Order: sequence, then structure tokens, then C-alpha cells
Amino acid sequence: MNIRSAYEKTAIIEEFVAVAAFLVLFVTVLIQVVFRVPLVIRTIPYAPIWTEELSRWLFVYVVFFGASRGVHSRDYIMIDTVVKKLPKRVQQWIQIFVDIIMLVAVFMVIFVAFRGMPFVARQRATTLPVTLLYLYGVLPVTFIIMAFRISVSTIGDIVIIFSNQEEAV
Amino acid sequence: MIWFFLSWVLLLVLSVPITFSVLIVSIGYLWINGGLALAAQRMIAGVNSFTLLAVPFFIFSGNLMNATGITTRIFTFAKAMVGHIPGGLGHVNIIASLLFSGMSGSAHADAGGLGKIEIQAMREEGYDDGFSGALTSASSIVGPLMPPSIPMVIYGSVASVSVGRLFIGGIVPAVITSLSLMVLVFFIARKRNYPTYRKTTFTEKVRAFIDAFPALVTPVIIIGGIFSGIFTPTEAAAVTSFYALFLGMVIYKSFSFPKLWEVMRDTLSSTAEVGFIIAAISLMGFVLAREQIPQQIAQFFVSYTSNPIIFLLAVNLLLLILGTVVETLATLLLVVPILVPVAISLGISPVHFGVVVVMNMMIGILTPPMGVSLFVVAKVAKIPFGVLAKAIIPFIIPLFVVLLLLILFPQLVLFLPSLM
Repeated sequence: MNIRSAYEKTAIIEEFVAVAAFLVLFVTVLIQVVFRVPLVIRTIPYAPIWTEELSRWLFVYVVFFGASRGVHSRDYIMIDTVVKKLPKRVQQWIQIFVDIIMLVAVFMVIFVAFRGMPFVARQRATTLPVTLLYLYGVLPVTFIIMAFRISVSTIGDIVIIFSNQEEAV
Repeated sequence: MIWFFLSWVLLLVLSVPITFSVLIVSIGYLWINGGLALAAQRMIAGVNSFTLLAVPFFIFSGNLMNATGITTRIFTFAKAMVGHIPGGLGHVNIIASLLFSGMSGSAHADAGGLGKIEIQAMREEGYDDGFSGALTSASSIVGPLMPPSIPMVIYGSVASVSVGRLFIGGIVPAVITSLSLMVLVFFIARKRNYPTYRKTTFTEKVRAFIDAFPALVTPVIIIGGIFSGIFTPTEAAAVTSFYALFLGMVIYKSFSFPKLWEVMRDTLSSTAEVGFIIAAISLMGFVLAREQIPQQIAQFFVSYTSNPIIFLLAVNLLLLILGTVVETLATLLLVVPILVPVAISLGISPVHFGVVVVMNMMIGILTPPMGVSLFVVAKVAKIPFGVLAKAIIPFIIPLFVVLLLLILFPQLVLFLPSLM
């Protein structure tokens, strides 16, 4: 049980990154607005050209780390009207199937993302002093975390099926 | 291509989450037919958009407003204004939603936050649960019609239409929708003899107004800022969030750190949900474009009709049917981008089309079995879903009428944006 509660707490990793990215994003867009005010333009001879690109990148971080957080709590949008009508046991097996499908999808994305890495590592951002690796790198990182999280819930689902069987016997 | 769709539908029916089902069929297709190298880039490009950035900020500001207790003040203000009309709290419910919609872009923030207060008040006055809950759901749909609006931001970014114009175009439809619901409530209330409040005095009205004033300024910031061109919608969204934060921390002093963290978590989980689907669906859009599906669907429509009204009626019928079973965001991202070019080629303004589509989707969130707004109300107010699903029926009728009016009279939508 201890391992489970320790695992539950690891969600803080994605939460922390997403919240931090969101806060920086918030400030960045506000900076962009402030430097639009005529009085500010006249007094401070500085144009923050980096705000637009940085805020877009941070949004990408928020989305993918947040998505990984959603995978942790199994918070998905799905159509379960049909499956809900099936017998409980069938539902449990379908759940395992769904888990496997999700794992396959996640590994496909990881593979695709890694293939593109050497290319994006050579390209520079327009206004930020880094390469596009910092933008596209978010895909392999978050999807590897997701793969781990989905594996954990798959094991959980398998355990449920077998523990139920014992009860039935 | 047929296998692509069949396997996708099969995965959806088996309750694979929408995002993952889209990812697996799209990458699978690219694996077989080539083009895999672009997949990662497509996914990122879907969310790497400054326009879409408005989404988290409007979710954030709506959540903040609910957490500051501003919603209660708006409710009190609405009660002072329209509480004396037959059907008292029913009208208060509608007007409060309309006012709240000027600061929130999501119907669920309205139904889940303000809705809780509304239903509780209506229960205390002896209204039945079905009526209160259904009305709360129905009135919450003005949230995304009145600016700000999250569905319009998404429509604007996938269809490359000015979000500012869409926002302004939604104002008149939002007001008509509210009025149509008020007419319905008036007649139902007279028939069922629902209670009314006494008429408030002028000083009471002024007092309620002053109390709600800081909240009522928000729509002025958003609409005024966008209308005059000072802000882009994304910037308006960030400024609104900042203002809501300021209200909660400095004016009303109603924020504690745990509460803020809670608001932030809610915001990020809704944002990620939307953003993740957008990322996956832009990959699917890439696949569809390679197969020239949009062109084929466009040709199909054009070969049957060149009449814009008939086209709009057909599209709306299709979307209403889809809206009962498919989650609206998926429709908005997959079906709508295909239809926009057809609409434009038939001489329909993309702003008009966008507002009509959003109105349609909002009816979609009310219609069971996939009536997401009813789920929200059922959850926060603990009313059985079945009761709501039945009680919502009369409310759909005036909304249909409004939708039809918007289709037949484009000027209702286009007049205000033409002044920009």
C-alpha cells in the first residue's frame, strides 16, 4: 500500500512543471501587454520580441505535462455508453485492451518523436537563444512518463481481474 | 481510408480515450503510407499557437471568479433586477448567467460554479429539481456565445477566422438566447404558479449594483479592449485573469494559497484536456488532408446544393445529430474545419458560420445521451441524470428557434462586427 501512495505522490512532478510553465506564461503575456502601452514605449527603449514565441512554447509545455498528469489520474474524454452496458467481466477485459492500445499509441509517438530529434536539434528558434530541441523535446519526455503511468494502471487492471476471479472461486 | 475510419470508430466504441484513438490510427496510417517524419511536428504545431493561448487564461479567469465569490454578488445583483417578474428566480438564473458569461468562456464554469448557487436558491424557494437543473444547464450555454468564448477561440484558430470578430458577433445571439429562455420561464412559471420576489426599491438596486460593480467591469475590459483593438483576444484573456486575481487578493481578500493551487490545478487539467485533443486531431487533420477528404466532402455538398440557406440547414441538422452522441470539441475540431471552406465558397461569412456552429454545439451539450452540461449539473447539484434529461426538453425548443433565426438572418450576427 505504501508503494501505491508513494506513486500517487509522483503526480507532483508533472503538476509542478505545468504550474510553473503556466505562471511564467502568464507573466510573459502580461509583459507583452505592458510593452504595448504608449507611455511605456516612450519611456523604456526596449521591445520584448521574445514574448510571443516563449509564450507559445510554454503553452506546449502546459498541455503535454498537463496531459501526462491527466493520464496519471485517468482523466480522459471517451465514449463509454456502449461499454457500460456490457457485463462487468467483459468491461474489465476491455479495459485491459484499452490500456494496451494506449501503450501502443504512446510508444508510437515516442518512436516518431525520437526520429525527428537530430533534425530539430540543428534548427534554431526565431527569437529565443536555443534550438528547437527545447520545443520538440517535450514530446519524448512527457510520453515516456505517460508510458510509465499507463503501464502502472495496466498492471493495476490486471490485478483487479485476477483478484476478482479468486473471489468468484 | 475506409479501414482508417472503421478502426477509429471501433476504438471509440470500445471506450479508448478520444486522444489516444486518434493518435494510434493517424500514426498507423502514416506508418503504412509514408509521411511519418512529419508526425511529431504536426502534433506540436497544433498547439503551438498564440490564439489558442487564450483558452487557459479564460478557463483560469472563470475559475478565479467562481473562487472569489464574485458569482454570489452577480447572483444578488440579478435578483435585485429581475426577481419580481413571474418566475422570479428562473429569470435571475438566466440574467446571472448572461452577466457571468461576460467574464467566463466556458458553459461548464457557469453550470458548475454559478449553477450550484442558482439551484440551491431555487430549491429553497420550492422549485422542483428538474426545472431548476435544466434551466441552469440551458442558461449556461450563453457562456460561450457571449465573449469571451473558448469554443470560438478554438474555431477561430482552426478555421483561421478573426477571434475578435467572432467574439463581437456572439453578443446579439447571446442576448436573444437569454430573452427566449426568459419568455419560456415566464409562461411555465405562470402555469405552475412559481413564487416571485417583491419589487426592489431604487436604492436597493443601486446597492446591489455597487456590490457587483468590480465584477461587471470585466466584460467592459474584454469587449472594449477587443472592439477598440487595444488587445488581441489572448491578451484580453491574460488581463482578465490578472484582474480576477487582483479582485480576489486585494479587493475581496478571498484567496488562500491552497485555494489558488486548487484553481490552478483545475485550470491546467481542463487546458491539458483541450490542448491534448487538439494536438492529436491536428495530426489526424494532416492525414485527412493527404487523402483529400475535405475536398471530397466539399464536393459532395456543392453537388447537392449551391443555396447557402439549404447548406446551413443541412449542416446544422448534421451537427445536431452528431451533438447528441459525440463530444462537441471533437466535432468542432474534425468536422467544422472541413465545412468552413465550403461555407465560404457559397458566400457565407466565416464569422456567421462560426457563431451558428457554436450555438449548435451548445445545444449539443444539452442533448442526451452525450449532454455534457447535464452531466455537470447532475454532479454539482446531485440531481439524477434521467430527471434532467427529461426536464431539458421544453428548453430546447426556444433554443432551436434562436438557431433558426441566426441561420435565416445573418445580420443578427454580423451587424456588430461590421462596426469594428
